[in-house]
Amino acid sequence: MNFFKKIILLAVLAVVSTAPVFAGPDHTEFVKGPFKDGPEVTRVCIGCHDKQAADFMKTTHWNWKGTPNHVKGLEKSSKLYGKANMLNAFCTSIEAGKDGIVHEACDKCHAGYGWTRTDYDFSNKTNVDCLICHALKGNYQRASIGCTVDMKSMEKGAMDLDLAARSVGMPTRRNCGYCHFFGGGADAVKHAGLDSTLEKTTKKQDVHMGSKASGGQDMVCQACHKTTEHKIGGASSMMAHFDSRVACTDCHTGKMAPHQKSKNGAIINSHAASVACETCHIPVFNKEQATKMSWKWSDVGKDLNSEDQFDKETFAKKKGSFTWGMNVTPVYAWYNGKIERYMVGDKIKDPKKPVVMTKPVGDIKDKAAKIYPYKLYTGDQPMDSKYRYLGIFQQHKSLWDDFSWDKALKNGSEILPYSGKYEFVNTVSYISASHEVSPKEDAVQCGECHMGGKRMNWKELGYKGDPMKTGGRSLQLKR
Amino acid sequence: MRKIVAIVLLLSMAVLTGMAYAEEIKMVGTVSKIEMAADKKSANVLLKDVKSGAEVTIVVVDELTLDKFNDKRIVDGDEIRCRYDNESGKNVSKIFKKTAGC
Repeated sequence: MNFFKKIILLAVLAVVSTAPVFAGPDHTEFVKGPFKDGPEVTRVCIGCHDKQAADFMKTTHWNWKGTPNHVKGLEKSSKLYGKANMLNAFCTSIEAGKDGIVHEACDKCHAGYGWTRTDYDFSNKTNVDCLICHALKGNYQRASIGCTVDMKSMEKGAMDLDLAARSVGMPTRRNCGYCHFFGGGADAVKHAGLDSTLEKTTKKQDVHMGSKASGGQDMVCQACHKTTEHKIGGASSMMAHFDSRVACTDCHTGKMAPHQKSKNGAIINSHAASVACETCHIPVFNKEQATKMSWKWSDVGKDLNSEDQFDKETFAKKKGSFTWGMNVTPVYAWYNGKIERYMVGDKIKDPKKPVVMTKPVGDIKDKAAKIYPYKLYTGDQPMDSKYRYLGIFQQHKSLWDDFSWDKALKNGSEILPYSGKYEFVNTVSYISASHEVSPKEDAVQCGECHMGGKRMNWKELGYKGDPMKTGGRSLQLKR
Repeated sequence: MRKIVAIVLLLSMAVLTGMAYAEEIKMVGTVSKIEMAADKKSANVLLKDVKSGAEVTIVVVDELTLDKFNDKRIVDGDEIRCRYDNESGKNVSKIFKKTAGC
């Protein structure tokens, strides 16, 4: 056998021997069932995977909070922040008020069982929901009430818990998407360019997740969101904590470095000091399904007509009115790795100005900052008129029953006192557009930003004008 | 030459008119029945309009929705927001999604 043939043979053997590692071992031998509920399955899982459960319980996917290492000004804070105790401008808060009750529908996406009260036992391993991330078959579903397995789906035969338990393997896009495609309460609502159409898609929508048949890479989420001991990489533009970051250059370096074949490669690469990869390679977001662009809670309880915008409703009596966007051109802002974030109890200085819920930190003079693309999301929500902070209001069994804001704010007042008077204030959130990376032929072209192109608002970004004419920021920094 | 231009224009108008009349209909309905084709490349779904109660058969061909039928992620009784075109007498689905949110 010559040297070349030996190399080929070795390569084939290497692929064959490592294949089970990627696919995950067959668990049908170890996980028999029948199972009545989720914790029963978990008990079997931790029979072998006790360490993995212990690892998972140290992550933000379990605790829903961590050190606020993403928030400017809170770097030294010892208090932990996360979904568990923060506010946003979508469904606002998981905390719902008296007796430590939570909005259980939010916890449909907690990878654990039974978080119906704020005194939830985060130390109980049998509460870990392994299946939400690892079940590949059986149509595993969680209930909107009770924070547990959806028994109704089981009863009507739409879900097979035993099959789900036996099918465990490495997460697919569908597993991650069960929650992350549905952020904000429904499909495509919250995140820019992250919705259920990515479960099965083409290169045109996303070069990384598009099917092989369409020329894409069909990559799973964790190919970019590198995971170590169950800590999943990624820094959400809305969250206070991240375990580790994801960057295009994690892969696109060395032989995979960008623009090597481009005739203007050197010029394009010179942009990289000030412009993030996403800025050119995500020219629009939400290509296949509209995303929510605004949400006015102040319209709750009104009798407005619901129009149809991109096949989505513009009004729901329980939630207020919305606008939607599809193929949205992002707005652009400097980001140096930190965010400015509204935290529970923060005083609102000027209620006439929109309250910034989340915004990237950085400007043209900040050498660590680059220009990134964002979804500019606006809305309104109630502020306590006396204490001047955003209120926490109870939705289920309160606002949604009788549309009384006063009662809902009173019921939600365990975390923050409610003075008895409220008013609505506008909010604004910058939500990063980091998915739906387009094929190179669809990337932003020079003329869209320069030579009269209107994509970038140069003055808002701190430039004197088009940097092609007035000079890049290296010149601005020297002045 | 004029005749050729006229014919091309007439044909273009006919095509465009046809496109304009390709009926696009939106509805919210409840799934009454799902019938997968033998080759599993399409399905006929009976939807009952929540407003009028009228039953409409929708032909679903997109892979993602067919997967949802196979995995029982969409089953009888689910409420669906649907947009479909009437193509040669068949109601072909363009959007077929559950209305549910939290």
